[in-house]
Amino acid sequence: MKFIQYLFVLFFALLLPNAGLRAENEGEAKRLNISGHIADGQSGEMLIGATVYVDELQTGTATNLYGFYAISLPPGKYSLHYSYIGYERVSKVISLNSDLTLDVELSPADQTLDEVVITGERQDKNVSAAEMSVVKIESKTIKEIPALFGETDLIRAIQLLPGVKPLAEGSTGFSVRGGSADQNLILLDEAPVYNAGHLLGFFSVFNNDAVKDVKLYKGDIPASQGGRLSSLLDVRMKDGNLKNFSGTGGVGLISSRLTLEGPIIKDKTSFIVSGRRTYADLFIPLFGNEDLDGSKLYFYDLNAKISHIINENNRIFASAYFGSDVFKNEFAGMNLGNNTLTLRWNHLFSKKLFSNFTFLRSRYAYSLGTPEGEASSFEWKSKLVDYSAKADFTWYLNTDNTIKYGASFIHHTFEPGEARGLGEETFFNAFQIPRKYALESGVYISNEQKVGALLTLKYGLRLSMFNNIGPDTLYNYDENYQMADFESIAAGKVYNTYFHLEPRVGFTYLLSEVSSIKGSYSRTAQYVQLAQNSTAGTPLDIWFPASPNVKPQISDQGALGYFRNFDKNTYEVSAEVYYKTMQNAIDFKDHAELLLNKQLEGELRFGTAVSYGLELMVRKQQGNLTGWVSYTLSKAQRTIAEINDGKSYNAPYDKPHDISVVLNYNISKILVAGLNWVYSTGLPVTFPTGRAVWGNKIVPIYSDRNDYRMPDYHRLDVSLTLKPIQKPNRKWHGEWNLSVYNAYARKNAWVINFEQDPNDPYQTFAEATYLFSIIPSISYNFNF
Amino acid sequence: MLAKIKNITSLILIVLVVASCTERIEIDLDAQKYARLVVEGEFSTDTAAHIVRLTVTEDYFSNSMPVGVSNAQLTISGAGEEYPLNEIVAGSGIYATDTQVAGLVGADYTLRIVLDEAIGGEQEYTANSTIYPINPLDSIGLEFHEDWATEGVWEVKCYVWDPPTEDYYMFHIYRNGVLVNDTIDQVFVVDDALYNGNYTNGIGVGYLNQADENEQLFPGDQVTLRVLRITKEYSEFLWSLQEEVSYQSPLFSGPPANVKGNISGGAFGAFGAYSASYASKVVKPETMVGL
Repeated sequence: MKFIQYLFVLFFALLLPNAGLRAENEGEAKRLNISGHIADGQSGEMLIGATVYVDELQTGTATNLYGFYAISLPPGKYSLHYSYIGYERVSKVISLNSDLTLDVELSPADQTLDEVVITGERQDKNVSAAEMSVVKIESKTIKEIPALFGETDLIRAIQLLPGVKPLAEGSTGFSVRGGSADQNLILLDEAPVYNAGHLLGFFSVFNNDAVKDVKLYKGDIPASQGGRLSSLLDVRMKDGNLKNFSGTGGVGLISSRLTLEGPIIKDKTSFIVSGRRTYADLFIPLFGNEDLDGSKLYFYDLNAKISHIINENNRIFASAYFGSDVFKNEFAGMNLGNNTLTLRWNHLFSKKLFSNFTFLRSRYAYSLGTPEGEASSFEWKSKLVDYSAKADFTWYLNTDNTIKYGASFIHHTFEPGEARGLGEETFFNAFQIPRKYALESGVYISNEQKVGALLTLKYGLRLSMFNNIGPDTLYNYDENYQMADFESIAAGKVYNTYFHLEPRVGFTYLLSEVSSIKGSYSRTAQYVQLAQNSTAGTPLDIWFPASPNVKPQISDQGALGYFRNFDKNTYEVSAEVYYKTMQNAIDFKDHAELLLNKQLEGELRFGTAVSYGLELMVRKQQGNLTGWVSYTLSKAQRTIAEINDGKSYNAPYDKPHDISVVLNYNISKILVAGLNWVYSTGLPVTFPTGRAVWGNKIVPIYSDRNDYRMPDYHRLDVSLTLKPIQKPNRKWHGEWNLSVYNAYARKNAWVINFEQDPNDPYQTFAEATYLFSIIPSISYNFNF
Repeated sequence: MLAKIKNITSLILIVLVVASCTERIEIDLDAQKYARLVVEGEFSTDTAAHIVRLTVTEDYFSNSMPVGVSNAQLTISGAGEEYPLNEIVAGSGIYATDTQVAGLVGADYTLRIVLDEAIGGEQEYTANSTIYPINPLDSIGLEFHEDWATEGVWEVKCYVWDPPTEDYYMFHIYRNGVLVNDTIDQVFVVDDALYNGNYTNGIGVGYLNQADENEQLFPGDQVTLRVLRITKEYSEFLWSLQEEVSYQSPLFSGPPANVKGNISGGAFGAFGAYSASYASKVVKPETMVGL
């Protein structure tokens, strides 16, 4: 243990920024630095992943998450090309004889129809970039995908990518490469979002109008992140228009939204405020059910952010998110939501050392109960709060090496559940599951190194540590998972520590200018998981930490891929295979009791899981017809001693075949059509083979878990957007969107139940419930 | 009461789900791998004939009455006594003790079954259960709620002191001597975590829907509440069973699994021994709350 603590301290020593500065002064005199920010010329918004290419050296770099880039070059004359998809390329010729700060603004490309927009040589980013198993989606693309009830949804768009599957019809939970729903780290401006769904997961919490950039890592998660096994969904909010006051919004059948952004001090300080609210409760009288009259049902999201450029070397950002679901009728009420607050400071120690410091708080809480005044009134609350501090450094050592290092600390407070009766007449005692506290920390260092012109190597190491801290009650279980005894832990005492080394390595090898192969291996550890036993999950599911009874889950993933572009980077084709094993995989015992259970850990069962597959995708991002077609062939299985008699069984989200077709076509200057078609094998289910009669009911007798499948799922959505011609001086632009979900009205089974015939007690039949038949909707979107 | 909280939660959450539709579908299921013995046994402190029913499992879509297992030797023994059970009607698979038999509080009882022919590879099966003491009911109350359903609902309310030990109960409701909640999914099975050691103060333990002719009450009807104190093991069996016969949804239900009972040898079902307490009330024209 002491040796590991020593290692930890050693890593910290490496974080001293002086290390970067010292190296720069010795023997680096011959190299000069060009650095700066690349931004959108109309709004001043920083562009993430924009590229800078140096003709003379046949190499380049890309901007980081804050729009910052740095290149190190010997003195001389250079032609630099700045580009980003959807924008006009900018070229500059410079004479470099001292360090240079060069900020560049790019103009959005004209939507002319009769020419393919020419973008820079480096549009082959998917081929050359040293990362794999990652997909980036622009906010604009998400907006063009036909959506349920016309509600543009970031997570529904993610579910159309290869390797990503929705949990159940309509749900915004997702499974990546066979992993479960809680293995995805969802970050909004670096703050974790614990429940990213509204209304039981039918809508996500992300308001697309406020989103700048979305990146999904399906594997090959960078060393700077950790804590979840299967994926990282990194959502970055817009910073706000630095130049002009502008707004965007829309009115739809289910919700309306408005985003306002603009400069507080032009080119220095900007703000963005974005809100969305549903009015689903207005439709309740239509259901004709008297019990529902007078019910309230709505959800809202509010995003707010202020960005300020202090000077050339310092920028600060403050972002916040508040969201809530409210349901209330005369019998009961429920209230749940996330809120996050992030403060960040970009600081340039030098032209080669970029740093970012983050402080954040993230909270997820819910409460439900019955109205006061009766003896049976009760209230049930639960919440989870994270406080976190992070420091991330990028050291642009030279053209061939970019070193990243940093540390992060998260303090978790878990309040799994507290139920009590209300009022004096209550016959309920107060019942509380004790709070838990934990500290999750990590330090990392990684380097991206170019070796010659064809090979890029990426290697890194993350050291993560998890501490359980008192006060708490630690239950000890016997071999039958019954509680044997328990001990009380004093406040502040660290009663358990786990740590793991997580290597992350990869390579990219250019076979030609338009093709490459990539490979990667990574190990991740997960210390916090969700007690969710149902397919779609409910917002009541609680997160629980690793402990002496629950070892951290570990995943080892290897991936290999071939990437090729055709026709001047117009078509991007990729084929990727992956193989993932998981240790300490968690599943729940039969008929597990997960809510309001002090001995939740006794309901868990542990084993291993494996998943592997092939992901194929063809993507076109230029021209009148854009979109992608993807196919995933995969398998995911678990093996747990006490479940299914120890035999391997299909993991809950195992779907061997998964096809997505997402297309967007500019019919004319004012008319755009969108289409998506999805097809997948049905989810695995457990069906009975026998029956018994007990207590005058027919009880099913099951054979093996997840041995059967639901019927195959497929669905077509279409949309049409009308953009009336913009009068040149009018600021207000509006467009109408008509979309149809499930256009051929396929009755996709959501669940299959076996029912007893009410007229003949011994007759049973199978009944499928389906959620959505054909749903048309219309919405009006505007910006000014 | 945790079960009640979950019932209410399900109610809240289900209302949120946008109108969904159902339709019958055809599913092909495999035949069961092998037949198992099914045992339904009870033994209470009432002086009465105690019933054990033996049947066999069938293929899921067999859609016929279960076949009773006859010619088996059954005994229930405990507290120094042994009570044999005899099949009441040949071929029914229903066995009963003598009518003057009563279980004793604090005693362990063992059910022994010896079959004529082996089922599922076994010929002998046993099960154990214990009878715990029960506080006698003070009284029951009946409260009519006219807006809980189209024709209203009668709530059966329970008044008793709950002892400070960890207890489990189930409730039978009789109308004029006939059992109303005669299917296992209608029976309330509870633990006492939320009101342990307190007076129950009229907590609802049964609901009678006026629209259902088997449940409706008229002035002059007598409602009897029978409280049974069951073992923790038996209550866990019943909860699992109730989960398996109720609506499964992707929101709440975990993967289905076989219900584990307390019968040896791989038989399905359970044998429960329990103590009983009764209280009755006659329906008067106006709504009433006991005490």
